Amino acid sequence: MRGSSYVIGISAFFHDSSCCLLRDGVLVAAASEERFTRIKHDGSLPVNAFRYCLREGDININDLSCIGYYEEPVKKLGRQLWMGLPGIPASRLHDTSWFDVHRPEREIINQLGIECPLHFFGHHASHAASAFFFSGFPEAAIMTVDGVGEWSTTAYWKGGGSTMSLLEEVDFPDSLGLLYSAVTGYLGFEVNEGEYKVMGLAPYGQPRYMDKISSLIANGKDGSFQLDMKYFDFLRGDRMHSDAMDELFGQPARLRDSEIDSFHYDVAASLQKTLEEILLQKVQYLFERSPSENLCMAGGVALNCVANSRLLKEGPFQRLFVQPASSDAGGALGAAALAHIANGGTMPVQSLPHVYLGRSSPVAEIHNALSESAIPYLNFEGKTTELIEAVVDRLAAGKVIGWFQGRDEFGPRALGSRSILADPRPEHMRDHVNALVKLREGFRPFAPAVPESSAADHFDIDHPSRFMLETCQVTSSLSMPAITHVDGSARVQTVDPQISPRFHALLEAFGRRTGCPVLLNTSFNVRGEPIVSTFMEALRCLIRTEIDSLVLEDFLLDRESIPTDWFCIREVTAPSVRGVGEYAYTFF
Amino acid sequence: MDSKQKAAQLATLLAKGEGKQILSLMFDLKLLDVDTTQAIHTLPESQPTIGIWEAQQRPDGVHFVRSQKLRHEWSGWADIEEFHPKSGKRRVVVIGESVAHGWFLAPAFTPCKVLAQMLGEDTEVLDLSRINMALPQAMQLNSLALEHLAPDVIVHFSGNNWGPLGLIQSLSREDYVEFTLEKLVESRKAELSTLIRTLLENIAATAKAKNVPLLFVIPEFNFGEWKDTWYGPWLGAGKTSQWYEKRTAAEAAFEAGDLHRCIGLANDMLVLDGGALGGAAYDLLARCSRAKSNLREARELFERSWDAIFLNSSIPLARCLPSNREAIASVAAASGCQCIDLRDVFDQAESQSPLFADYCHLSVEGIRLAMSAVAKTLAKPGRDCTPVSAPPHAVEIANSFGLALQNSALPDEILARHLRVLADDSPEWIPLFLELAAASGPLWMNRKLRCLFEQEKAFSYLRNFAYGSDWNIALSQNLIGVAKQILGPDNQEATGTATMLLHRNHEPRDQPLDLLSSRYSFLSLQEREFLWTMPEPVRNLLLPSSNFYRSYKPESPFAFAGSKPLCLSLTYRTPHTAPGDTWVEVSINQDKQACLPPSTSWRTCTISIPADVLNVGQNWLRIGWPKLTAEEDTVLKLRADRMQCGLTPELYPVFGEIHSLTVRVSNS
Ligand SMILES: [Fe+2]
Repeated sequence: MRGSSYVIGISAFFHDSSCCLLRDGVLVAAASEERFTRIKHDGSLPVNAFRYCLREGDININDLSCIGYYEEPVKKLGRQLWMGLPGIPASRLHDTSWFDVHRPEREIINQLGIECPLHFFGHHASHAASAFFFSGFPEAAIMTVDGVGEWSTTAYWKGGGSTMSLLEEVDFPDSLGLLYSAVTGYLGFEVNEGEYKVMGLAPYGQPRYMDKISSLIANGKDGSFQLDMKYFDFLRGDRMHSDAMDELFGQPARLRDSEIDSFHYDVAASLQKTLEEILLQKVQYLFERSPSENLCMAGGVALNCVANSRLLKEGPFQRLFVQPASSDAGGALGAAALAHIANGGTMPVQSLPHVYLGRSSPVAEIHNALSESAIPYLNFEGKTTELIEAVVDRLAAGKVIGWFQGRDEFGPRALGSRSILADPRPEHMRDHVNALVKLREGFRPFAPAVPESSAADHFDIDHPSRFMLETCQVTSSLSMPAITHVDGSARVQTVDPQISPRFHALLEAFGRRTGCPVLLNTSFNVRGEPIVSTFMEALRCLIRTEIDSLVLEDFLLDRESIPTDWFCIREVTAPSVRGVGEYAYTFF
Repeated sequence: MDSKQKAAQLATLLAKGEGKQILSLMFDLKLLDVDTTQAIHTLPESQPTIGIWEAQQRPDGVHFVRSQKLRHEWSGWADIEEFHPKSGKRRVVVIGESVAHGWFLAPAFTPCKVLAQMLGEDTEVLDLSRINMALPQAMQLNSLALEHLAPDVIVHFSGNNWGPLGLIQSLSREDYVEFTLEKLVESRKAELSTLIRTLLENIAATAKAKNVPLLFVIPEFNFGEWKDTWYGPWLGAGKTSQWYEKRTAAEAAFEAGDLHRCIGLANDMLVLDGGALGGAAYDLLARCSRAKSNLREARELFERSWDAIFLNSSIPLARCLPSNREAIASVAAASGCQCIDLRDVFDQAESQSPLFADYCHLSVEGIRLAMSAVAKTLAKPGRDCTPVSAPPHAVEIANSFGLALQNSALPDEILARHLRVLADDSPEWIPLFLELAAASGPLWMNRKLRCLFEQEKAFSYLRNFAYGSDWNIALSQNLIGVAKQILGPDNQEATGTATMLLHRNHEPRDQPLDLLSSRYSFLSLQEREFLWTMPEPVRNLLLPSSNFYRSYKPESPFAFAGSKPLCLSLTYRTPHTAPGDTWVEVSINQDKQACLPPSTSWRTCTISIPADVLNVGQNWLRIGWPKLTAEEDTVLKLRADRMQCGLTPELYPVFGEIHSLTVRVSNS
């Protein structure tokens, strides 16, 4: 064990604070702080995730070689100062921490107790490294696109071996991420949270407003583009779009929770299409600057899976790797890789096989707690086949299952560790799951999971898509309305038998029983809360929602076995803590 | 250079040296123009809400009905579905904190119910008390009650929660550059006192404007039984060591009944620490006076020991500080309001049974006494107050059970008192207690406790509390020890299940046991050692935050179970002790296992623990820290450095820090 190089990567103080651990450049553990504090998008120093990483790596703090931090605070301050002091909301005046550039270093040393060297890397360098060094590609072109880091909002890179070089970048305030967020805000959704919804809304509309969107942004023929700042208010920090945007579209911004009509669908469609066209042109440009078969992408905009699919299909690159934790959470991975290299290490070529990098709950602990409660539950220890059959019985009967297995997922998607599963075929299932658990807007379909070997039978996809980062057409002879979007697309997850044996076995068994090897797969959480991490959180989620059955590792509980008294939990649990994302992008 | 380059250059300059301070000062002096005109999103005016009760317009007037939206907050308030529009009855509104709420005796037996019974049919008492109520909330409720509830009189029964928590944050660096701790205490006291007076004056003035009389009730503290956890001040190496030697000797003298010697040593401690951080010394003196049955003197000394609260940012359990008492009395007098001091009430009563359930919450007898004083003041002339009978036995059982279980800061004596109430009731209680302490899952998952909740309404407060979190009893608290004492040696088989659970749930198996987990690492909620396990906002408010264990005592105890040979792994450092002729000592159940060198940077060592030093059931691992070697100027410099960064300064010595501490089954 000794002699290995252990490197910690940290992203913090914005949102989705995260921490990861590399052993000799190989990713051992990664987790976001929100899964520990239960505060959605928690941006505080990831103290719990840090301790978890050490525990998972079975090392102590003095085994660490160095730390990588995902941003350069002085550069970020420069950008904040340029935005201008008049832009600081009065409410933030009491708090001078935003211009405290030494805070990350100080807190990492004082709070975490770090004694080893600490390296700072650029925000987009961290994004780029988080994609390239975990792509499995020996060389690649890299594009990073987000709201903003220090100055960069988009950057073009070339990577090979253990090195990356910056080719070109676009600076703040010109930003594709902020464009998307501003229109998201205009459409009445939460910034930093509602972008997915806008993407989901787009297929319902027609891109009638492309010309209006093109007034917002002028795309350059090279890597550049410019926002017309008269339509944006984010420099002032209060909200993202300006009144001029209302005038441009001829309608006031939609109020949150008010009705969504065809106008909103059309604006969403126009925005989405514009983004796709710009990204296609940028990818083409990047290919010219750095010809390669491989493209890597990271940054919040890389989570736009509809755009990703078009880039792969219509763009010049053969292969695409998108960092599954593409938001700032993933920055921790890149910073760790860069720190490992700065420390004299080399990065092994590794393709991220999965994102099961978080906590697990020991089976014995679950067993002990369940037996103390003396509630009826089924124990399938050593009987996986029987467990699978029992779950299939329930799924086939139209039940909704909470599925808790192994280590939890790093990144925003539940991929079979902390998932809610259901039969995708019944007409009512989308509304049913929404009503039972998710309480979210009905217009978005859920995502399907399918064994890798049968993916092509049901979807227009010829390669693994393990991270739900692409969409494709549903080509199945089965009707699966709960996972099929209005335009016939789906955000598919293909499941590998080696990587997720139990989840894979469940899909296969469901296929054998019903002829449909596809399951609806959505994240295991109550609306507005982070995905569950521990088995106790899963159990509380079962009690607080209407999920029919819960699988905790080898144990199966049906809703009927919950003692009436436990429903007291519903009464005494406070509504979820509001996430960080609100009306405005949090610059400070 | 374009504007972006200039901004980047400015940032580079600001990042150096005093940049942050320069910017702060420019803000303070308004040299930097800031846009304050931005729109702030405000929520539309909704129906008035008083606490958890929402206004509802009905034909007969406005009712205040419990809000379903606030369901999760109900348990902190009185268990009342709605307040009707005022009828012909005289209306008394009570605004108060957990003492007024009745805590574990609620909802069956609350001060307000008792008061209502005493005042009789033609008076109604509206209970607006809430657990953890702070003064600004009381002020808000006062205004709301005056506006919407048409009270004939308002009773304010609070003062325990107005502590200086958070005030330490407002210290400026200058406070520390030329500070003496005494001056600091004085300024904090004055600051708190001014704040409290302002709020109380607002309460009095608002009521006066509506012609509604107020009655203030000053709470009292359990001086007769309570024992606080105080820490030693950081005085530089030599003095700190001396201070601790004196303290150890003084505690020993007290235990041995040598009060004279104890007083002498406590006075020596005061000479060393100058009194400002003298919580521990005054506390010893107070306990000596109490042992001599001089409760009045003890009370004064205890109150002096509380001065340390103004600098000690560990969890100060609720208490009505002398400055709060003074503020209530003087504001009441100045504004012509009536005022009852429970100290006088209790002094005159000379009751035989305990008046307190813990540090400040009242027993059944305490509530009866307090409320009869209130009733006498409020009753119409010539009317007698109706005597109130004791609550059902189950309510007292639930009170003792809940307090012993939840209130893990209880001194052994009070804990034992409550456990005896339970043991006298049924032989089942103590084993249940032990079982809960050794459980794997949280309290709410225990079958027996669930059955209890289902059968017995008196446990409703505990039930809400238990389901509200995944809370669990710490093995390292002395609950198991005290419970076993109550059972006595003849009853050991009753502890069999608990011992089995202790080994099943708290013995390392495939996975190492993390002894830093709050389950194994603190003795009471009053300990600073425990705070780092709290969520960040709380932690940062209370102490210089660090995400690892810091020992503010010369010895750190941890509890665990084990039977096989174990391997202990410890990552530690002694930031204020340089290597020399002094050692970190690791012992299991008083049996010394290892002597390790001090180290100012993290150091990991592994220690083999043979099975024969392990006991069946609970075992104690103790880490004895070496003497501090950092001198006073180092200490002051460290404080000033922390202040400069806007961090809470460290006033208490840190003897050692632990980053990880695990035991696992030995491979060999
Ligand atoms: Fe980013």
